[in-house]
Amino acid sequence: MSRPIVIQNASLYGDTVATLVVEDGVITAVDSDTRPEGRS
Amino acid sequence: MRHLLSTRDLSREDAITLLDTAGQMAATQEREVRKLPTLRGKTVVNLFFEDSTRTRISFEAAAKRLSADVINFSAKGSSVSKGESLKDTALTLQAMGADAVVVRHWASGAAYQLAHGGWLHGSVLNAGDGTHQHPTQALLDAFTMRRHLVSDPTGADLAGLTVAIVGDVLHSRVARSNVYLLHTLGARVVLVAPPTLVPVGIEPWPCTLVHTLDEALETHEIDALMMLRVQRERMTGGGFFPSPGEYTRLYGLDADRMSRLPDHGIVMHPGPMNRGLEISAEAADSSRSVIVEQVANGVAVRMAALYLLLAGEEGAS
Amino acid sequence: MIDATGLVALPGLVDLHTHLREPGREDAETIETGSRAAARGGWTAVHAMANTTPVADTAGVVEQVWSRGQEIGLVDVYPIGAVTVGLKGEHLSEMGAMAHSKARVRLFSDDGVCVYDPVIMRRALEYVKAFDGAVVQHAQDLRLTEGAQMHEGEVSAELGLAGWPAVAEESIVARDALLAEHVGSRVHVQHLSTAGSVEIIRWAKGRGINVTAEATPHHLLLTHEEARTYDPLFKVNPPLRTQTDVDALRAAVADGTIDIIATDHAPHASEDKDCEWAAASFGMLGLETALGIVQKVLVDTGAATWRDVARLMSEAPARIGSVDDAHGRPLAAGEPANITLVDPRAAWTVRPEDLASRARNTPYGGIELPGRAVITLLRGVPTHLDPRFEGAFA
Repeated sequence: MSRPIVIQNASLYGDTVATLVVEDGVITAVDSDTRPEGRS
Repeated sequence: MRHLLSTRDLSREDAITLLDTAGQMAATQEREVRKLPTLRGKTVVNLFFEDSTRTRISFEAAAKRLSADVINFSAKGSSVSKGESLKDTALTLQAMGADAVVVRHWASGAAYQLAHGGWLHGSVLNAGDGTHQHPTQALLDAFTMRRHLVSDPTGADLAGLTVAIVGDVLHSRVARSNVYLLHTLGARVVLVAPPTLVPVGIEPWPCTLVHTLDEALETHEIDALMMLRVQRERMTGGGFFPSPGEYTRLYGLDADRMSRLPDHGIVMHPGPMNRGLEISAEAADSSRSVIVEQVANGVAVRMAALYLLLAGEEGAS
Repeated sequence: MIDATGLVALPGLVDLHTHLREPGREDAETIETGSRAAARGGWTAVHAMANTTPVADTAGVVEQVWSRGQEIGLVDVYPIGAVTVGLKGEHLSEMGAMAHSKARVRLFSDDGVCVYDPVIMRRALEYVKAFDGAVVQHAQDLRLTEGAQMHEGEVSAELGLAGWPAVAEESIVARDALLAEHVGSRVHVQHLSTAGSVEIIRWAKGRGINVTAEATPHHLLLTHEEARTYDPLFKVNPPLRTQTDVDALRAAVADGTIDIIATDHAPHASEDKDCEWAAASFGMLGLETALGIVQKVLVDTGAATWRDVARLMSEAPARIGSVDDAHGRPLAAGEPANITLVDPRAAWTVRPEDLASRARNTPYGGIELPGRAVITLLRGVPTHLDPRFEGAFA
């Protein structure tokens, strides 16, 4: 198991801010913050 | 003026200065000693990627009469078999210390590339690039027209004159050069060509277009009639025109059509002529024909161009 | 931990139109240098065109290209197979063998040359149905473009360069749409360049024909006016067109008539560009500049959103290329981590000498682009990292 990569506060598709967790080549979690971008 | 690449770049003032200077040069050519010391110590390279003995000799004579050192450089190569590259040739000429490069090239834009490629410091004089431009040809044509058709030529433009250019406009750098220069000098330009030999996209050109020579002669009072050379190979094999015979019938200049010009009208041709195709022997050899004079004026105009490109740069680094 | 505040996350980009030049012209590009350029540009998959030397017209060549891509590992390289042997337009290549090889080829193209013979085109369209493939067409009537150098119009008339008329593209687009309809197959039209082609594609889609189309960044940004410099960096096939065409292409991308953006990344050795216009090769680099140009002409102008960009540059090309099991997937748990993070505020000036490609033939030298990819992940592995994120992966 490689160390997970945590990508914090990315704007998914430019419209939803979320944190992505990547492990072993796969996206394992998308912690979607439902606040629209701009007010985050 | 740093380079002479296209007649489109010339202002009315530039053009008149060139023609007036050519007038002075022509006057010196009537003296017993025709050689002027003006460009002593300057090196002019005639760089010919395309064979043209006439043009090369004309430039060579012009440079020599101004006492420049002349180097003739024939570079081989075509779009099919690339020879020495334009860049390497330019670097070689730069290393030789060329002050001016007279370039004739099969590729449209080659003179522009030489002037702007950053390879060469000297002036570039376009002696014909592909189907793009041949500015000294247009200047010698304008010079010839001015001498014949303008009563007090020095300092004058060609306002009020109508010039018809007949033939293969599509492939003609002479036509392109003349359209812009003649317009700049105030003349009206009528192009006469079959639709297959007119480029798509000429709407912005400052000229009018008709499709037969008879129509041009009917609808315009033509002061100068310029016949373009037509290449026979353009006529055959699914080409631009059905046959040489039909071309001659619709676009050729013969005695009958010539008689429909106004009395003062002149007949021109950039050469070499296809007698019997675009021009009959009768028309070519008539008293209206200024074709041989065009050749003589070519030397004067090229002297003027070299002089204005090179003599003015004394003291410049 | 990566602080991605301000970054846009997109599914890894998928290019349907890349020339990697290997085998044969490794002096212009290799699979390795092209892969690096792709990763930097935000791509996680590229489709390598078949016009190599030897031509990718056999299972052997496509497997070699595919394996080399995997070995390098910076981007998934999916070979496109030639439609005809040697790109000569005469005999169908062994498309079945390529489809069933380990490269699993699904797209076939003679790109660089049009599949001109209508019978060959018809047979190709029919044949690829057997393995759910598609024919990818370089639409160019060869007779109408003999010796052609640039768009036929006002600029070519003035410059004395032989014209490449819009109709030479449009007539083939129309023919191929009708052939695809007739035999019930799928055609993808490359590098649409004219307003007329857009109208034909719109008509064909309205009729239910299975046709897709691409536009390149350069056809969305540049016009034939660039040829006035006689700089062969602007010589490309199909040629740069008029502003009217550019506007029509942008509108067609925005309304979905054009399905995807593809680069037509075409590296050329300097001697093939440092010469007379008429002697120069057609083509320009594109992998590293595509995203910035798309942002400039589509996103920043309001013509498209980043969600549209995900569709245009990842999801739709993955689907057309039949690689949508691995690429162009949603950014969702359980999906492969092919991710491109874009910094839309990281403006940069294109410097040809800084590009990863072996060749230098970008027409964008000195131009500022508004944004770029700053992180590219291929199955979770960073294949491109802007220096400011290197620490996070140390």
